[in-house]
Amino acid sequence: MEYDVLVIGGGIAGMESAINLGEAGYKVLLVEKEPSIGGKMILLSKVFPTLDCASCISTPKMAETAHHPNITTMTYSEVMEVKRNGSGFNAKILKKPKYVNESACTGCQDCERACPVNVKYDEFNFDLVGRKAVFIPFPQAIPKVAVIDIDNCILCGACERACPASAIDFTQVPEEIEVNVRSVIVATGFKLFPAERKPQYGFGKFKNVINAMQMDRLLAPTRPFNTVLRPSDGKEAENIAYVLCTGSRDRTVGNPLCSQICCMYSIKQAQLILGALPLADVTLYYMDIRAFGKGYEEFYKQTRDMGVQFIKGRVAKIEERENGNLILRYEDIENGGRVQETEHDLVVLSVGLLPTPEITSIFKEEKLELDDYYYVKQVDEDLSPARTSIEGVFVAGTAYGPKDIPDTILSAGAASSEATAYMETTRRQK
Amino acid sequence: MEKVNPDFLDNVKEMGAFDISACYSCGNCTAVCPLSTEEYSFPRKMIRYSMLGIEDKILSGPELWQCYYCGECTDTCPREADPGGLMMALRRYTIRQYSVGKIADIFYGGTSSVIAWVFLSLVAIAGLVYFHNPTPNLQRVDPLSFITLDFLHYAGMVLGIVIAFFAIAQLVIMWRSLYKDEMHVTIGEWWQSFWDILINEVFIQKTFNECEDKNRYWAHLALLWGFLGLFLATILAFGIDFLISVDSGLKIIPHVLGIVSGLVLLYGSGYYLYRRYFIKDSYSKYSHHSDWVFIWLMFLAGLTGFLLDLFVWINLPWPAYIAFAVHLVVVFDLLLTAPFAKFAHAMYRPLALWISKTYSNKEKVQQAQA
Repeated sequence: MEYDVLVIGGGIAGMESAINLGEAGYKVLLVEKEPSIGGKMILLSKVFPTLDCASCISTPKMAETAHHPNITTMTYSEVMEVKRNGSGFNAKILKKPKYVNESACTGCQDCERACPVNVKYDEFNFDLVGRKAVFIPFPQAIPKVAVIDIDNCILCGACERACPASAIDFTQVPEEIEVNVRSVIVATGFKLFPAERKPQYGFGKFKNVINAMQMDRLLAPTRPFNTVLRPSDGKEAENIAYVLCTGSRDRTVGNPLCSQICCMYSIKQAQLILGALPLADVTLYYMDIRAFGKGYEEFYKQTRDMGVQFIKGRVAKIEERENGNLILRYEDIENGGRVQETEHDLVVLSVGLLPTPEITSIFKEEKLELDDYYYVKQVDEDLSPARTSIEGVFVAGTAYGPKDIPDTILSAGAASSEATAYMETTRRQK
Repeated sequence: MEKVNPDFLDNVKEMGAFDISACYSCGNCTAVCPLSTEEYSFPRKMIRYSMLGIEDKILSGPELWQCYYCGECTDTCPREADPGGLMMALRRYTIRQYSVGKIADIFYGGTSSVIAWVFLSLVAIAGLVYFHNPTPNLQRVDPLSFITLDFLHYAGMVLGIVIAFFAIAQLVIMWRSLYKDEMHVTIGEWWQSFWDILINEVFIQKTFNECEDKNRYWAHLALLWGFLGLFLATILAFGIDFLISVDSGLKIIPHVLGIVSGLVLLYGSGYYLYRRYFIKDSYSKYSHHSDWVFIWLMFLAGLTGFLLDLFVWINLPWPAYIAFAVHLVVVFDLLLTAPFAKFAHAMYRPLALWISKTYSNKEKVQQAQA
C-alpha cells in the first residue's frame, strides 16, 4: 500500500498533523497504539486558561481525522519497523486483534453489560474505577468499537451471544501490514511520570494520594463518580493539597526538566474544584509558578483571588493518618522558613511528563537521535523545529519536549508543513 | 542591615560543597531534615545566606552545629546540590573564621596543612629522640623508664597551656558572635541549660539518634567515649604514679579502662574510615583532607593506646615502648591542633548549642508570660 505520510501517534499532535496534510491533498496513514484516537487530551476535563471543555475541542478533531477522505486511521496498531526506501520509507505495522469486527460493531455496549469479568483497572480512567474484559475505551472513543482485553477474557462467549451485530470474532489474529510512505511524522507524545518513583509521597501506598490525571478524570464531564470523592472511603474531599513538580525538575528521578504544564493544570483543577466542591479548601505547594503563556499569569492571579492557597515550599514527605488523611511536611519559605506539617484529606501529585524514547527502536539502518533528556532530538531547533536526525522524518508535539496543548498544535502545524516541503522537494528532484 | 561578603560563596566552595550553586531554594532539604527545628531551620536558609554572602547570619547562629550530616537532604535534593556538604563546608569555614591569628587556615589549606602536620610530627619525634632514655627497663615493661615522667609532665603542661589559651580565646570569639545582649538571661538559666546540653548533646548526643542511620550514631558515640576513656585512663595512670606509687596494684584500673576505651575508639574511628573509604553514602562520598587527618589520628591514637596497654599487660618491653612513642606523637598532633582542625567542633558545637538552647528556653518563658 502507498501513502504519502505515515503519522505515528493519534493524539492531538498526530491528528492535527494528519488533518493539515489531508487537507493539503496528501494521503495520510495515522497509526495509534490504543484502541481509540484522541490521546491524552480527550481524557482531560477542561483546558487552561480558557476553561474550554477539552472533549468539545478534541472530538471534532477526532471525527475529522477519522472521516477525512485522505486520512486512513489504524487504531490498536503499532509501527514495528521503518526503513529507508529511496527518498521515502517502507514501514511495517502490526495490527493487534480487537476480536471485534470493526465495521460491524455499532458501539451499543451490550457486550459490556453481558461480560461477567470485572477488570480492576480502567486505563482510560487512570485506575479510578474498573471495567469489563470487553469494553468501549471511553464514551467519545473513535472508532466507537469494543475491544476485548484477551489477557483478562475467560472466553465464556457471553459477549458473542449478546452482540446484536454478530461483531465478536475470536478468530482474529495479529496482522502485519507493509506500507510505502514518502515521509514520517513522529507524534508519540509523553508518558506520565509514575509517581511510585517518589516513595516519599506514598503514591500507590496511601489511598488518598492520587495523581493529577486522576483528578482531571474526577473533574471531567464523563467523570466516574459525578463528584470529587477520595478513594479510601468515598468521602467528598474537603481539604485538597497539590504537590507540584512531582517528578519534574528533579535530578533524583533523572528528570531535570520543567514539565511546563503542571503549574497551569494544577491551577486549572483548583478552579474546577472550587466549582465542583464549593466548600473545599485547595492548597498548592509550589516551588515557583511558571505561568508563561498568554493569559496564564492572569489566570493564576484570578485563582489566587478566588481563595486558592499557594504555599511556597517543596513537599518533602507525606505521611498517612489512620483516618486516611495525610500529613504534608514542608518548609514554609515565605513565612520565615519554618518547617510545617499540615493535614489534608486528599493529595494530588502534579506529575510531570516523561519522554517516549522507545520510538527510536523502530527506525532501522538510520538512527533517530535523542537529546540529552531522551526526547526526540531537534537537529535544527531554531530554524526547522520539526526536523529530526533522519531526513524525511519529522517530529510533532510532546515527543520532542514537554509542551501545553496550544504549543503542541503549533508544533503539529510545523511538522506538517515541513513534511509537505520535504515531499514537494523530493518529488521535483525525481 | 546585613553586611554582604561577595566572595563568601567562593571561599566556602573551596572547603567542599561544590554543587551548591545548583540550588533553586525549594525547601526540600529543610523539610526532610530530622534535626531542623521551627526556630532554627536549615539547610536551605544557610544555602540562601551563602549565596547572598550574608556571612554574619551564618556565623551567629547555631544551625551549622546542629547538623550531623545524616545525608537525607543530600539524598533527596532535586538539584543534587548536596546541602549537607554545604553545612560541612560552612563548618570548616567557620572554624577558620573563629581561629585566633588565622592559624586554622594552615590546617585547612592544601600544601600548608601537609607541611604543618609533618612539621608537628617531626617536632614531637625530635622531642622524644632527645629526651628518651636509651636504656629502659627491659625486664618488666615500664613506659616511664623509656620516657620520663618529668618530661611528660612538663611537655604536657606546656601543651595544655597553649591549647587552653587558643581554645578559650576562640570560644570567646564565638561567644561574642552568638551572644545577644537583649535576651537578659540569668545565671540560673545559663546553668540549667548547661547541664541539659552537657548530658543530652555531649554525653549521649540525643539528637544524632534522630538521624535514620543509627550505626553512625553509635560510632560517633564510640569516638567520643573511647577518647574520653583513654584520656581518663592516661590521667589515672599518671595520677597513681604521682600520688601512690609506680608499682601500685591500683594500676589495673587505668589498664583495663585503657584497653576497653582503646577498643571503643578503634571501633568508632574504624567505622568512619571504613565508610569514607568503601561506602559512598552521601555523607561519606566527599572527604576534605581535614576529615581524613582527624579520623586517622583518632584511629591511630586508639590503636597505639590499646597496643600500649596490651603490651604492658603481657610484658613485651620494646613493642610497648614503640607503641608508647607513636602514641605520644599522635596525641601531640591531635591535641595541639584541636582548636584549629576538625577536632575543634567538639568545643564549638556544645557552646553554640548551649547558647541557642538558653535563648530558646528564655523565649518560651517570655511567650508563656505574655
